[in-house]
Amino acid sequence: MTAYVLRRLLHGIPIILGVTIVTFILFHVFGGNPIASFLGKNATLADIAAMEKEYGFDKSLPLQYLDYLYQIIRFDFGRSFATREPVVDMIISGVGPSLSLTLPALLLTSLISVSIALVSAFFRGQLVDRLLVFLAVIGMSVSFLVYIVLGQYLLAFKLPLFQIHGYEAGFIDRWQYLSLPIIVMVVVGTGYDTRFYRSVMVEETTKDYIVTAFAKGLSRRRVMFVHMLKNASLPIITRMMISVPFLVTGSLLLESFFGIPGMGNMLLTALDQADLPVIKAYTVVISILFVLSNITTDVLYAIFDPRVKLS
Amino acid sequence: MNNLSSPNRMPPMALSVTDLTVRFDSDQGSLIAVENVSFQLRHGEILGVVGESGCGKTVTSKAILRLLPEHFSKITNGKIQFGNDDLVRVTEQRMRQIRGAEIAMIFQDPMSALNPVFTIGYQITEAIAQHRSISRKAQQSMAIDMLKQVGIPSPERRFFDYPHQLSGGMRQRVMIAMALVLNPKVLLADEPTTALDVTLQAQILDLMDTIREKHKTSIILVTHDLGVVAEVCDRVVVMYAGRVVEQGSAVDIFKNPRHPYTARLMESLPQSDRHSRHHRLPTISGLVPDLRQRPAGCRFADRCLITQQRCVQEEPELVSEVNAAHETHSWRCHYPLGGMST
Amino acid sequence: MNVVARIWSQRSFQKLRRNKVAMGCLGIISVYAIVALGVSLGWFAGDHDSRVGAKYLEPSLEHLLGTDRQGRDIFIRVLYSTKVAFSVGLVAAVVSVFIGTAMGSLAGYFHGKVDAVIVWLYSTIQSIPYLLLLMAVTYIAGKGLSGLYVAFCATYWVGPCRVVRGEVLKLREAEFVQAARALGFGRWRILIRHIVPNTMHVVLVNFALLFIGAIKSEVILSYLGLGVQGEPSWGTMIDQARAELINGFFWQIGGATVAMFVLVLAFNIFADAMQDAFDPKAK
Repeated sequence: MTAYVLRRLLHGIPIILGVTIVTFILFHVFGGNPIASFLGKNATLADIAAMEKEYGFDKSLPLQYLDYLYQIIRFDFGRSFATREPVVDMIISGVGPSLSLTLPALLLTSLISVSIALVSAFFRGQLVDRLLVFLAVIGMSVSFLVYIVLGQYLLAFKLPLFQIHGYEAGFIDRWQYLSLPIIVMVVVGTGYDTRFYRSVMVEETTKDYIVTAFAKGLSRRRVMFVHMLKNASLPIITRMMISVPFLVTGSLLLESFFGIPGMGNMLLTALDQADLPVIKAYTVVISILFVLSNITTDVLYAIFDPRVKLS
Repeated sequence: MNNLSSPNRMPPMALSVTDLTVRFDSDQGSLIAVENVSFQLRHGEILGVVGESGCGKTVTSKAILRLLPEHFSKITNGKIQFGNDDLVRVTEQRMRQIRGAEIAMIFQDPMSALNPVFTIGYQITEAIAQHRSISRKAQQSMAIDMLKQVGIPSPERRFFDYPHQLSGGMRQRVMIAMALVLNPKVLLADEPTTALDVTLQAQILDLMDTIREKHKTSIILVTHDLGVVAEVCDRVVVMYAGRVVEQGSAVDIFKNPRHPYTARLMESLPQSDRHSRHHRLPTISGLVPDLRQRPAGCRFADRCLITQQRCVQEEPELVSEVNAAHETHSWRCHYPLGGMST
Repeated sequence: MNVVARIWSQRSFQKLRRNKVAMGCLGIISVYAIVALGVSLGWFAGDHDSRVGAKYLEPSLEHLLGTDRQGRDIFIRVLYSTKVAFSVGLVAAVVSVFIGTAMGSLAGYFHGKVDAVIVWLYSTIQSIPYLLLLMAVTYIAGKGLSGLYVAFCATYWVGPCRVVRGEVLKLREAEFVQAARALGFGRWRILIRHIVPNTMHVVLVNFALLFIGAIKSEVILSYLGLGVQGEPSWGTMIDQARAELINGFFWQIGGATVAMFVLVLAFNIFADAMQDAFDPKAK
């Protein structure tokens, strides 16, 4: 088992290196002079030179790349251009609000989608199923932005159930701000997830072992909830695991729209101000998380699926 | 045919299928997969249902337990008499009591027919728990005992294995154990040996023969393999394109086939025997007709070597003959082969 | 195209043609396409930016969806946005599908180093959250339509590349490919004439999905200020309409939303029907 985990981690290294190369090329080779774009047109050459020296931009590209790698290894991404704060501190302060938004949203979406998908698969081909599938497709076809705008208008403006905009850090206080974006996120995600989970379940119900289970005289409920669901749970867990890195990225749209000071908002501000250290750090941290969560998924598979061999 | 000691009194039937018709509906229209199929299963016999793939034999066997997918298939006509029940009409609740306990079924590919994420012990005891209210311990010992009977070595250990940890032959034995653990009256075996190699095939067939002897189980053996039929079946039903085209005792069918299709199946047997380990039937030229376009005449007409004008225009009725051993032999052909009754 | 592929695809296309709902959706998509074409040829909606009346006019025969804050005809802006949506969707889908198919078939067919490099490349791109990559690319390539094109193409080819690679891996062992090999056909000929045409079903489905994805992402990026600049798009319209909602004016958000919803819904249903029709398992 340990050997398997180690091997999977080793496989992740070229991907993480790839991410660093891609982001480095994007920002350092194609991105033009980041200092100049940050300081704007009014900066003097001396200002630019001073800042270039401070951030190591006067070195050759390969050296800059090595600096970048060294930053990643130490998990220290220097200071932000704009705020002069250590980037790591900014990330740490952004993770909390992002997680408070995305974690409940992911759990609720998964719970609701799996339940709807179960109902749909249980009544496969009947009116209930067709209706649910149709609703899911409709849900998928409405723009994210429309959900946000209408959600805010109806639930926070017309019916003042929630705060329109803003955030308070208190553990209880934050929910009056977070509830609405969480609702929007759940509504947006449910259409996609329901369809995915339903097709996974329907796929399972065409397998031979389902017929065997019925042939034993088991009830439809038992066949679906025990035999089918246990098999379907692997793809369900996988999909949830794949979402884990996105928990940390936060939601760019929702955070900026509702003014939640999370990771997404931080990135948007950084993009707006051409704050390269923040953008670079954000990209690489998220990508590493992505690779790690993929590895974790594989390992979980190996633990839960009796068929997977570790060799 | 030792069960025919008193010639004039046919034994009561274990299962009797009359005029069974099954329709499949899809976006592309519907087709009749099985049409007016009738046959009877006697107590303690092994009845072979033979035909190429797509002829309706699997649909027939699944229809008996009403295991066809509900949302696009329907039994439109017929009767399946089992004891006092007509399985076409009994409630789902009664059907569930019958499934697994009174009529059990085993399938072609034991790897996919066993649930991969449960241990075999769980899957067998689950069948017991469904029908008997006995303690877990008793369930477990019943299951282990059954595993031993079907020839699984060290069943106490195997009980906790997952299907993928067993070999193909062992998996099929587990399937058989699962089907027989409640001592059902009837066993439906759908191509139980197809996925196995020849030595294992023989072992599984032996096992089924032993079971029949020991538990007096009546078995319907669905197969495309006449070699299998020759080895264990007492009587044979030959199906083609959703219809029964010939049926009779194994002796009659093998010695004196009347329908050209049966004869062709037989001809293809020894040759394919030499070439492959499975007695597949690829040597009959042409394909089973598309059931969506039903021909007016005999369904075998376009592949038959002796087709006449009449064969294309008019579908033959089932003709029966009783032989010296008082066994009925029937066929559906205008110009049957042979003709000299033995 | 070889015989196997011909028979098979005819059958699936027949199945698709017989699906009335899918054909209805194709009709809706065609209407949008004609509108988009008309706009780009200058037949109508050329005056999308001019002031035609007072602001916030209610709908009338003259202005079917009323006017916006600057007195511009909303219906005309909705029509014009169709063109923007189609250019974004078409460019993103055509280019990504082309790159993806090329990369995917190379990776699947030539195993070894080529495969390793391509798989590494798409695993890397996949590991960067896609909205982030989109934003990073638009940040570098510049805001506006051309930035959007570059961003979509740089990220979207991964999807078709993965599925085509999978298909090609399966197909290279197929009997008709082995037959072609036995006949002495060259590797490139086999790949281009025999294998790639057989991946068209997955490519078509991917095309539709990428088209939808691009249209929907355009809306989000436009809101974030990274999308279309200086011309109307459904994204900029919805964004602009936010302020109008508070005044109780719904026509702009309604028009853009419904126009986009109908197109995306039709595409979604059509993509589903294609998937059904082309699925070799469901016969």
